[in-house]
Amino acid sequence: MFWKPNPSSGIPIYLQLVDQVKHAIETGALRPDEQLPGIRKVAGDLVVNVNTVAKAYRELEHEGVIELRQGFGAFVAGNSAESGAQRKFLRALPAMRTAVNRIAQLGLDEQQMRRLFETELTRLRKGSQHD
Amino acid sequence: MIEEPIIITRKLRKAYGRRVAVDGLDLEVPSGSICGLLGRNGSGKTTALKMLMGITRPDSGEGRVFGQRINNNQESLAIRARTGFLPEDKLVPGGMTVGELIRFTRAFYPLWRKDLEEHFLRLFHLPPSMTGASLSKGARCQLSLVLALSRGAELLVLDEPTSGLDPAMSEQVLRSLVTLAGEGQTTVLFSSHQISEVEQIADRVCMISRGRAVLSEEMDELANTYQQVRIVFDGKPPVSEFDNAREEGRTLSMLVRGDVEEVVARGRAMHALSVDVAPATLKDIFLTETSEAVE
Amino acid sequence: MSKANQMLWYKAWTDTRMFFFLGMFSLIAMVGALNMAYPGSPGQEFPHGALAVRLADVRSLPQDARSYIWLHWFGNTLVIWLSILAVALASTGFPPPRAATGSILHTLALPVSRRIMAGVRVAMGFVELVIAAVIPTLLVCVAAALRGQSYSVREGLVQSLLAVAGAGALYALFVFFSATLGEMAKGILGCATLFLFGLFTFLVDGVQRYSIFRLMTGDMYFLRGEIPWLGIAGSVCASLLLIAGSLAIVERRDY
Repeated sequence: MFWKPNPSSGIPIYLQLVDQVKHAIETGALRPDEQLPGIRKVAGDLVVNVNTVAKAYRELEHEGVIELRQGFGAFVAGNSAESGAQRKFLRALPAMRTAVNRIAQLGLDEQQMRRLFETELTRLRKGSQHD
Repeated sequence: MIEEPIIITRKLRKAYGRRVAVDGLDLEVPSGSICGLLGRNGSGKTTALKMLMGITRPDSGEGRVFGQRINNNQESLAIRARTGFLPEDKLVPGGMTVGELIRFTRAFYPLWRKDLEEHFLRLFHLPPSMTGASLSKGARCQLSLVLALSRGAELLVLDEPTSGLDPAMSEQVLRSLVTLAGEGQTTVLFSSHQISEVEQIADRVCMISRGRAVLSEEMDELANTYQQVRIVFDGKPPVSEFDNAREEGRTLSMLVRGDVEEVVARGRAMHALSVDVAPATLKDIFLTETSEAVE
Repeated sequence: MSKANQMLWYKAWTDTRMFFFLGMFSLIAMVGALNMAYPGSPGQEFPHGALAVRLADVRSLPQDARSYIWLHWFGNTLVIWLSILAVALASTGFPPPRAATGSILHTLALPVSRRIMAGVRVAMGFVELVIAAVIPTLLVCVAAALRGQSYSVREGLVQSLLAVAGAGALYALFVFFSATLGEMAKGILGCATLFLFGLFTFLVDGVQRYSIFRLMTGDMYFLRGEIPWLGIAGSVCASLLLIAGSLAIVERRDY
């Protein structure tokens, strides 16, 4: 289910795992109340230290993304906030896809598209600051 | 309640004639951890590991494994009964066949894990009737691993466990180490030249340079302790103002240990055009901390 | 015996069996050669005396089977071959630290005291030496009997054990060399020692009296039925000291 984290990327492995779990929830690969694979299994599959996986799970629990149920394992939090986030993500996906396709047709490369997106984000942020 | 570290050494020293191989080594390996030992060739890694196993005697200093002294014959024997050792060069006694060697080694370890032995034999396709001397290099490495990892030992001391193995086998070996440590009964100390391996599975790192430990930390702490800083100046950069700084045109790059805010502030105070801070990779840290350049 | 100890003996066996078989089968082949060359002519074959048998003794031997066997087998063949075997058996199993490779490191990392490991190895070699001396000797007696002559089995046994007493001392000396010297030094010193021993024994009458090779021939026992207790005692003491020293050194060495 998870990709092998990149140990040399500069981002701690446990954070990469945290992001992966969140991404999995957003895309629906993991649903609310669904059980996550066990810590040892994940460690063995990805060949990373058991403590690293444990740390990732603890962080996710701390952020309320998952629940650790004593004796049963780790489960995706069933609260509506997360499913709400998931629904929003899925609804925004088509709009983004259209925009990306259109810009790509204009002949911009990936770098340029990224810069464009960053510019817009910054504008949005600055705009909301003036409110 | 903090448990005593499984391995602890203080000022371990070993010299061969005039050459000092290990020069006051302080090492600590917590129980249940996977500790990666990094060091350049000739840094004293192998000598240190041999001293832990009682194969070489330290000139001075002390070391304890499982609380037993490494320089006492009887206590060293007790250490070896609970430890699986993998030597740097993976030769095995040549007179016996693979099967005989396994039976031979097994006799000394009552807690031998037959399941692991069978797992590795299947994985490595080792022919049981070939003699140790006629195995290929890769096969010898694999056999050494079988012999070391199947002992049911509480501690594994492995000198470059993946050397001589192809990437797929290396990954399998790393997986076994992760699983063994994950079961909770095994501590792993392994030396490696592959920094990525250490990054991948170790939760503790120790770097040796010229016989001394230059770093000994939890892997997670490293991100807090070390950062890469890049400062761009308008003219010639004041390279002497910063420790270990590399000059490239108008840019100064350096690895900062500890207070990175102070360095950033100093850069800004010197009218830097830009100051960038990025996380340091283990490779950056290794290359800087073990560099042999004398300031 | 515990499984671990069994394994130590087994390993000692696998380390030494090649030399043992070579030595023993060479000796057995010699039995055949001995048989075929009978009766020969001692005076002509050994015009200067055998290695450790004085010329005078050679000349004074009666021309019978018993003397023939004694001179050729115990006086010559066994002395030489058993010495060579003793040296060979002592030379394996104790690599010097500089040559310490993974093969010996694997063994050193086992939870066994070095003294015991080395002790078993030394003992195994010695046992092989005894067997290689006694069995071919018994065959000599059998071969003689088949020819209608006789060589007393009791005498043969005593003499083969005397040969072992001497060869054992050589064995112990070379074990000591192995434990203390590097490969090269061991080779040179070893050859030099053997050569000098042999030379002096052969040439110098005074040395010949006390030579280890003379002990191995058992001439006193053969000629006069006297057991050379002093020689045996000296040899055994020297062997024990050398072996004890070797074990202590191996225990202390850095690999």
